[in-house]
Amino acid sequence: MKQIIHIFRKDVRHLWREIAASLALLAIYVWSEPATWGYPETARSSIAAFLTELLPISWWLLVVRVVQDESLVGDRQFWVTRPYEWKKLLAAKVLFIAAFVNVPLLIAQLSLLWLGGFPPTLARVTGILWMQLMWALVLLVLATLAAVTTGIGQMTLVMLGIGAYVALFSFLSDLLPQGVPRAEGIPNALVYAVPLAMCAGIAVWQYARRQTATARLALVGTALTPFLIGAATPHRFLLDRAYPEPAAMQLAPAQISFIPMNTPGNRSIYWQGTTRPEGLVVIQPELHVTGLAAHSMLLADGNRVEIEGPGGFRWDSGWGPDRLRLHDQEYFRFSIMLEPALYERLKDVPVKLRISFAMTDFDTQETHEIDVSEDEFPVKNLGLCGLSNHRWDITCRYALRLPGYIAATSATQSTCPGVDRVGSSEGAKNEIWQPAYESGPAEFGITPVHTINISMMNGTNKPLLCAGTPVRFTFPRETGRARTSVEIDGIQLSDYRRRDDTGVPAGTAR
Amino acid sequence: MCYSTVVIPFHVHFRPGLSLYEQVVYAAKKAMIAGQMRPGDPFPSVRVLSKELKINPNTAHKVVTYLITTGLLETRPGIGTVVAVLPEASAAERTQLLGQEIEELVVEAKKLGISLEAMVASIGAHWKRLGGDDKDTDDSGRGGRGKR
Amino acid sequence: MSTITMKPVTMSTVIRTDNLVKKFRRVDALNGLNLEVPQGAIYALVGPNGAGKTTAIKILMNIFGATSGRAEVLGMDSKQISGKALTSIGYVSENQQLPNWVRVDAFLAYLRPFYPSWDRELENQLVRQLALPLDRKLSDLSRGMRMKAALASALAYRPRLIVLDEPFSGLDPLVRDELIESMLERAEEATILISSHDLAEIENLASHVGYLDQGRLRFSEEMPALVERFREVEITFDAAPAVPGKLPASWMRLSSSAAVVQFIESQFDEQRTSAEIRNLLGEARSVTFTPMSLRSIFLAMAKSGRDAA
Repeated sequence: MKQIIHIFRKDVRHLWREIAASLALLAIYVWSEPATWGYPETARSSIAAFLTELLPISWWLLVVRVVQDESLVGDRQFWVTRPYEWKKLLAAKVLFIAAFVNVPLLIAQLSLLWLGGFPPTLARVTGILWMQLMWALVLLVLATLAAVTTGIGQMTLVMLGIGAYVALFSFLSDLLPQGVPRAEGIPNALVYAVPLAMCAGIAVWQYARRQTATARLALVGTALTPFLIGAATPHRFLLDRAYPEPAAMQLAPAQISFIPMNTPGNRSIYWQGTTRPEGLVVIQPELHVTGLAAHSMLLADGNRVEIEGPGGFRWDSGWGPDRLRLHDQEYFRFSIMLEPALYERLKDVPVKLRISFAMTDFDTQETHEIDVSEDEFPVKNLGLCGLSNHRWDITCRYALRLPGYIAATSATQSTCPGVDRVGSSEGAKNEIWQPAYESGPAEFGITPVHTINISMMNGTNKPLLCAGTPVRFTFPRETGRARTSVEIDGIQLSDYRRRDDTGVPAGTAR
Repeated sequence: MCYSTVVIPFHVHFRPGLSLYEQVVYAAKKAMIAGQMRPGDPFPSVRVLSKELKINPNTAHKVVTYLITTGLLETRPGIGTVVAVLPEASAAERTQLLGQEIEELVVEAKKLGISLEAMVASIGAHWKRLGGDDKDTDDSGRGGRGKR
Repeated sequence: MSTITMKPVTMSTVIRTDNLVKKFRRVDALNGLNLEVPQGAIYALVGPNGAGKTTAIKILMNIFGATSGRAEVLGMDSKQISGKALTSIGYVSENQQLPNWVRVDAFLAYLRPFYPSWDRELENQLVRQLALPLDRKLSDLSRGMRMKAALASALAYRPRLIVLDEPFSGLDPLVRDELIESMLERAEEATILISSHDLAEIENLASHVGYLDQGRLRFSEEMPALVERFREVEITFDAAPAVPGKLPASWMRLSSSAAVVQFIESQFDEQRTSAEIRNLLGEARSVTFTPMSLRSIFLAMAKSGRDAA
């Protein structure tokens, strides 16, 4: 124990400049970050934005310098022939990082919570501790890399290498079959947990044995594990479990049916806005949603397309992620992307198409009605909100994370002077559904206080929100998950191909 | 900052390859016979001998042990090692001290083909030139005066 | 030619290696090293550059591990040397990197608590003897001064084993003198292993010497015995002799020109060697046997090693 404190004090004496700089930056950050909660950008808020990049670099520097003060690489370090005990050395480094990165960050986060008007409750402190844990894991990776590199220069190269790796990883993972993220909680956790656990093991082992070549090799292996986990994930099995078929005698949360082309009737078609990916052919059958319960919101998290062609031919796109909100009585075009070769083969022959959706059902009864005011007003479940200068935005400040999906609806009446009706028809609302950022008890970052801009424009450029305008906030709560599908027999793909840039397929009745 | 300067009262000219311990003993003996160290003079301790001559302390220890065993040094309580009263060294014994040098001389002379008579004559000439008596001066038991 | 004459071990050995092998990617540094350092010895490990001296020392100090074989230091497997074991070993090496940012006094103060046997008095004495400037940073010191500081920091806790790897390299004669003096003061209570090219310095210090070449010891013995058995032999003949093809293995670097034959005898015995000369080369006008300095012995070994390779 004494050796731990002794080494710790030596490190403090050596690195006091770096420590002071880091703490100073953190203090300036806490002073300037609240300026980002308001709408206009000031000098102070730019400082905060700048510091958001600089602070992690200052922490990185502290970690690298302290770990490499007793470098583990090579055979010329003075400490290697002195009576150091590796466990105590490691503990001294951990103590240093905890004392000068984690603890100041914790204090800064609690201060920001308090400044933001969110006094620390037990739930909020738990969220802060989660953020601390996330940062501790980042620091763990940095410390492990510092333990296998010889200096800041080498470490910087390694960081650039990691940047390239992350880019490569996201590029490759787009190519691999993905599955539906919300079904893959465990594999997603493993993709982080396994490399991190391996990092921790490698760091400890490097301190115990100082065999750098092997440690570096192990780290490269660690970098490959996410790919292995991704490849080994049984996507279909996980999805079937997460989004089960409705039990017998129970209706699916909604029915989806096919509207063949040339069906007469005036239907306003909700567009699923898609980009046109290079080289792929887009088929767009029209679908109809019915049977949604009242106070229900439906999200399709994933979809899957199966084609049965002549002569037993089968094509399966596999489950892929989606983000589609299904409204009751709604018509929408669903986009199927096909390789040109496949399309050519099937286009003129009647095929059987099955489109499946993995859906999450939400209950939308929890609402909070409030009249907008010029001053800050609290919104239950969310945080503290205020009007922006533009009069069609509400900017809300919240602690740690969004409560999930949020919808904001303003009534047809505006209380802005000179405007009495908003929207072109009865019953029109201005609705904004804000997707949640799914991350566990808190979003990752330095500050625990975030802002979100809820923009409610209606295209008329007239101010919508003034003092007194009633706004209803809705907080959908997940009630269940299920799969459903629609089967289309004898469909000819060429009839439904999207040809022109407006996206209207040939042969659509209007 | 002061070094404690305990001078070794004799000079050791280290020749390579020869037994270290013998060389130091030899130098010490010569110094005693030549009168550089008189009975009662303190003799350097093993530590000092080792440090000043930069020799292994075991060797220094061997030297002192030998000199004590042969009676040239004695230990006095409270003072340490001192030079003992020297027994009379006969001419033969003293000549023996120069044995190494004489042997080398003879070898070189033989190599050059110098005869014994010529060698003796040459020694005599050098003796005269450096002053002192023609004959040896054994009666006092101490070394002669003369340049070293 | 290789001779390993090991003195029978009467006291405990402080260092013992058993067939130590170390292979790096392209080089075989140690090829079966069997080293024994008895307690209380000042053991000089000498040999040409690249012989494996530093590698052997680093394995003994557990700075890295061997490829195969075993090493025992202070009765412990060398792989176990760490933490507590290092409180009785002092190590100074010219290629160890000290923390350059720290002042001399802070450096000594930092190391003090690591060693239960640290002697403040001895520390002060060493600082005085070596004239260490306490208020200067290690990076501001000359090379010699830094070595002295390293030595002070390795002697102040009265280690039982002192290991020095090229401690004199690049140092002026005064600093060398000071280093040797400090070493000798500890020599009575410690065993010293010193690897050096400065043969003149260690010739009078060493009680034992081992010659390491290409990862193996070609000899390892007590210094007086070594010095006794090496002679430069010069034989003058009346007429050029016939030199037979088969000569004793202990004769090294034989050369003959006109009527003079010279060689190095590594197993000198006056009677036997003279008889061999008479038998093999005939009667000579004069034969001289000249003792050799450690440096001359080293050169003879190195050159004959190169010839044999």
